[in-house]
Amino acid sequence: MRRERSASGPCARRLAPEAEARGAIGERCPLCGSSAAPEAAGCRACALARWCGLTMACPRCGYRYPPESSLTRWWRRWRARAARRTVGPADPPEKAGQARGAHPLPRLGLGERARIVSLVPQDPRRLARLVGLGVVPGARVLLRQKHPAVVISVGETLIALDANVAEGIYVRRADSGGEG
Amino acid sequence: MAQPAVKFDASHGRAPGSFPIVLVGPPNVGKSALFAALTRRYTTVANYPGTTVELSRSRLAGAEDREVVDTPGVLSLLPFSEEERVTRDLLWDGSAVVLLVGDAKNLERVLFLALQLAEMHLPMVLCLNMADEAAERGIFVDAAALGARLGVDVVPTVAVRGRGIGQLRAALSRARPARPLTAYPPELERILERVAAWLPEDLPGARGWALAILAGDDTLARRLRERVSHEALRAIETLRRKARDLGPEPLSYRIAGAQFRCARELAEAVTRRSRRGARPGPRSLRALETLAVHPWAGLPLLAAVLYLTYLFVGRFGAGTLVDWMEGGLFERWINPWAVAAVERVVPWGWVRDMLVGPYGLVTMALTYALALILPIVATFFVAFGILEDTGYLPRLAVLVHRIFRRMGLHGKAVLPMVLGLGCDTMATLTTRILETPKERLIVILLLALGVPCSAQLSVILAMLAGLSAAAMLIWAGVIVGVIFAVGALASRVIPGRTGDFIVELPPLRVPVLSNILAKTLARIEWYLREAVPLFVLGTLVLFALDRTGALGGLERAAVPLVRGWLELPPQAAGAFLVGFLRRDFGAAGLYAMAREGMLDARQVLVAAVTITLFLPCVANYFVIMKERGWKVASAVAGFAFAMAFLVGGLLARTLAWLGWRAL
Repeated sequence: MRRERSASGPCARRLAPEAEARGAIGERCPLCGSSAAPEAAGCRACALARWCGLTMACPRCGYRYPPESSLTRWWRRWRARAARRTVGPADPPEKAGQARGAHPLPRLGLGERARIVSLVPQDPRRLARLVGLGVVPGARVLLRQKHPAVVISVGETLIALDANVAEGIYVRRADSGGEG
Repeated sequence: MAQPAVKFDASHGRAPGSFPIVLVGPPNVGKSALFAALTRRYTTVANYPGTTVELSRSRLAGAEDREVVDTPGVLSLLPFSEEERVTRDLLWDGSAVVLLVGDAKNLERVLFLALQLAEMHLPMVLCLNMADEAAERGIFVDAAALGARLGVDVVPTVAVRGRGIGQLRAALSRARPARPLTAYPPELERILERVAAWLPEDLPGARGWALAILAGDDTLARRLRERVSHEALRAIETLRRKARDLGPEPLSYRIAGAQFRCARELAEAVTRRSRRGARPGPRSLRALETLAVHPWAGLPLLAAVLYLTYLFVGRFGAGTLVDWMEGGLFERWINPWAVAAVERVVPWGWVRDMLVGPYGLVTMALTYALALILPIVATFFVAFGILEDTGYLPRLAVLVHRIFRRMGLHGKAVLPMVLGLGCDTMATLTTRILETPKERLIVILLLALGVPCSAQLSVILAMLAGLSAAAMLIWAGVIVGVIFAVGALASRVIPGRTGDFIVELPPLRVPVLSNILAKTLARIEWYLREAVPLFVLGTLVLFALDRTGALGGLERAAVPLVRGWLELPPQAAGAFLVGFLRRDFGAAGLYAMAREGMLDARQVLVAAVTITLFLPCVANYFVIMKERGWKVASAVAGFAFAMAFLVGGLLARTLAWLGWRAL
């Protein structure tokens, strides 16, 4: 999945929203381990502070550290992806209420049916749109394709989603859960 | 509790029989078709979500004192988007009869809205449109049972064929509020009741207000502040915070979730499905549905669609029809006749010139507008209408999603861009279907810069058709390249975020001929009204400039730019000048020059690229100004102007350097 680049300059480095939502992979504060998006440190006295982006600060503990270089980021993500490929669903469930055996929608195979278990907390607008389209916990989905966008059918409705939206929809395969 | 000084209910003293009828429903369920059937007036109907972007008002046919309002489609009445807010605000005034329109195939989605309307205590009638499509799929809704449960009339209709409209009109006089059936989680319900208790007693639909407040509807909070005491406001705020602490999810989601669950249960209770997997409609269409969005099988289909469109618009419209209209009708009949008539009737030389001279109203303005451009615009509108009604366009959005992400957009942005091939002005209005200001701005910029409208496209294609396939490819390559480069750059420079790509794909349908004809006629009328006056104005300006000798002066002034930089003959300056009014007008002028053999192959190509990237037309400029303010409009126009000459000049240089001739 491509990382969404923020347009407002190097200082505004943020995590990709899907990583933020899961908090599983992504940059973490080296001191306190918070996965909240680091802020530009803004060393006030420095004349270059507006453009530099060389120091990031953790919003939780205030610890300052240099941002990850794109090379290490690529390496870390590649490792994380490789790990997921071998181990299977490795992401710890985000919420307490998240049932075991649930995984993000795009991990279904093509043509597989599943039941939606939860939508992880996201932007309220996104939730509202999904709910309005019938993508709600309990609804049955059929994954039709993954590229160039994820296409699912819910009831009689066919819906195309961006992959990062689909990642936030947790489902359980129709055969593995208690419900048919 | 103290009674508020302000009167809440604007409807007091008026009978519901005189309330306006407001059509509300999810996107793409046929509200506009129903609107047309009820009012016998046409608004644009198409098979993709977001066709209606503004409220349209009209009168009920046969009861002219009754107003009918068509609204943009909404997924929810807890508003999150501009259209949803517009619709919600219209309803909150409390003096409307709601005609809720839904699609029997997706019953739970319209029931979701019905339950929200029930909380708002608005009189309503539920209309299940597209009953034929549901039946084809083996889905039958027991309208009577549903009506009994909700406590309102439920009428199945097929609006495009006018079925069920009579029953619907009868039911409208019996409109009444539905029963609020939603069961919220008990702790939420308790808070809800307490919030509602703080609201004034004469407020209809207090529960609806309370829900909206809890869901975090900020615009509503502002309206509320004018109407309730400080004490109540503070108490409500405390309750709202308490409700927010109930769980990790946003409150709006918890509320909507409860409503949707109830809607689904209700839908399941009244729907009967005959034999599973009943294949609806022609089988070939269902196969195409999957094929059209397939990552690679979709591409040949796309190519076929484009090629057919080109055959129809480019060959038939721009070739056969234009030859017939211009070469036959105008050159042979109308113009000689007009010249003869004017010469006999009008004694003054300058009036003659104004009517039939080289910059004459008949010989230039009408010939360009009606003979050169109208046939092409008309064929494009027919082709686009067919594409709209089949439901292919949202699938196109899926296919191009990946590429558009590179431009900081998502696939949905392709809809205004394709519509821009018809008319950039209309397309600029349609950018409202995009969610964030950033996306809208990028698309508006790209439309104004590089998407040629059908009128212009046709003239340019006609110009290039005289050259070679290579010229056509170079032109297309340069334009597409500029669009992508500018898009990618703009997405980096313009701050803000991109909205989510969540698009509903409507079923592919066989278009209804009458709808396409009605739509084409409405659009042609619109084109004539907008374009012809501008052509006349532009011709008059040119004529005045020519008479006073200012045209020569302007051409001389433009020599460094037009001749030195673009390497075109100085007369082209006149064409660019009218290009300020409409790009297609400018293109038509260049086309006329090319036909007279004043341009060589390289110059034709450079002229075509420059005029394609030229300023948006005046109407488009005004629409941008309306949507984003004059600063943005001027910036867009200035950028397009600079970009057009920059790219045109660079192309001229590159071609000269390569020694390119029409291969």
